[in-house]
Amino acid sequence: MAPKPGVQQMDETALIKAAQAGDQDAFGQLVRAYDQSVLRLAMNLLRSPEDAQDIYQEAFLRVYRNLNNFRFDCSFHTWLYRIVTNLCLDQLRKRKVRKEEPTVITTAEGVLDRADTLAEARADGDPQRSLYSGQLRRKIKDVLSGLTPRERMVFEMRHYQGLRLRNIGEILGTSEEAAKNCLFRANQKMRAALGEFV
Amino acid sequence: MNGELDQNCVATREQLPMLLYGELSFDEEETVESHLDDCAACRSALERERELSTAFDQVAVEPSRALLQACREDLAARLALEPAPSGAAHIEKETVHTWWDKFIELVTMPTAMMRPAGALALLAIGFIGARVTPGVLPGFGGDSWSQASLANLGTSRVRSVEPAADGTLHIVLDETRQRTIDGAIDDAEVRSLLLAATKDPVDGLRGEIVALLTKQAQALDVRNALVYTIRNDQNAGVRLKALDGLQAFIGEDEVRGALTDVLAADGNPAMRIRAVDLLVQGLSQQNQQQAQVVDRRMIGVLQELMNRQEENPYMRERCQRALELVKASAELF
Ligand SMILES: [Zn+2]
Repeated sequence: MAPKPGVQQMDETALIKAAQAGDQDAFGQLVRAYDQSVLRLAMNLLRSPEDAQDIYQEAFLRVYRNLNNFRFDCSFHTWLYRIVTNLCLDQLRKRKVRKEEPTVITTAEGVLDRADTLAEARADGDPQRSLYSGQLRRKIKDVLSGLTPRERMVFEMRHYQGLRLRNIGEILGTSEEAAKNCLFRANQKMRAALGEFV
Repeated sequence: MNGELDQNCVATREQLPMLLYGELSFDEEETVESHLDDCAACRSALERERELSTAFDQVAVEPSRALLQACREDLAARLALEPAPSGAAHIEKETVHTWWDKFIELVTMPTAMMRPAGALALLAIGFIGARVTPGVLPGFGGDSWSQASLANLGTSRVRSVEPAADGTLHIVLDETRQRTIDGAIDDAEVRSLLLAATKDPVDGLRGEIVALLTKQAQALDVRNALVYTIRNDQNAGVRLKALDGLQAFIGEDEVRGALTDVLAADGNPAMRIRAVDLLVQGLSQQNQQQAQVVDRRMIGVLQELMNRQEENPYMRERCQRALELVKASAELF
């Protein structure tokens, strides 16, 4: 149903070359091919429309300014996402510094109200329903914000953006294996915090 | 099952998330699958993993179209001030022209979610006002284009519209000098003046014009203007009028999209209630033969409203009903 972001390969190469030659209309088309998924990534990672909007602006401005450094040695999507993920990671790290660590750690380990979640699941007798309950959703948000910026990023790109680990590794400048380990750790933390659902 | 998991179970459980992500190697997947064939406990663990994965999806947010549009506009504004990318050999004047053309198109596009605030948005509105007035603007060719549009900003504005006895409309225009135009509502010039005036700063005038246009909603350009009004007009009364005009067009993606935006984000409770009413009404009348696109976003927004425990019981009941109808149409096809 949802078309994969991006434009057809042939068109895209032509568009990039045109944009590199100064054709702003071509650049506009490139932006519109990818900007929705960029915005979604930033929005889900940062949970703030203002911050997501800042990332959007900064990312596409950087792309525009550095367009002539793009040498087609990876896909445009990968190149764009390198820029976007770097900006997002910086932002997430800044927040980590600002926030008090203890809150994060407590939530990440799920000590706080893990018992509540479980009790709810049992009392209700309908795990499906309680899975969707507001409480669990809040819990998931807590755990997500307790992940390290890199774990958060890998989880986001794999789970919500549906990117392959190989591609995620390429974007983050690491191996597929390292990306996989990162995703694995993220999942372990999620499960530890979310009780015995898994 | 009794808390004691054997080695194979432990290994399998660890692999379940990667199995769901499709990120296991061929051999790894073989091992996991064959264990799952023999182990009911791990099979139900896989089911729980799936449920958890679905629960993760519930916290995903989809940026609103308004936000996307705001980002695009800001970027267009920023890029207009940027020098060409370093190393770009040349920029033809034509290129600048198409970029601006594109930008204007982007901002005035029927689906556009233009924020009324901001100098650039105003500039674009002013320009549209000028653009529809015949004879004011030279053609689009050449580099006089942007100068012309700037020079003619706001030179033509609809002051008032009055229906005449014979069914035609009498439009008073403010220009450097005032002039009048008479014509039927489906006359091209009249129509484009009306459409442009849906962005007029005077609430009362917009309200009248929107009310007139609702009778012409079978025309695509009118529907687009109404959709635009629903999303952008600051006056809830005007938005409500526009909403009513689209009642018969729930099947259109754009219309459903606008209704979804209202449900998700309109600050006015009457708008949200009216939107869900129209949705229920439109969907229950909808011809079942009509191919129905699975509107995931609509389902998501309704679901979210239910989850948010909307305090108004009527609203809750309507959302529930709308959700059933949307889902039913999704399942049909
Ligand atoms: Zn087992």
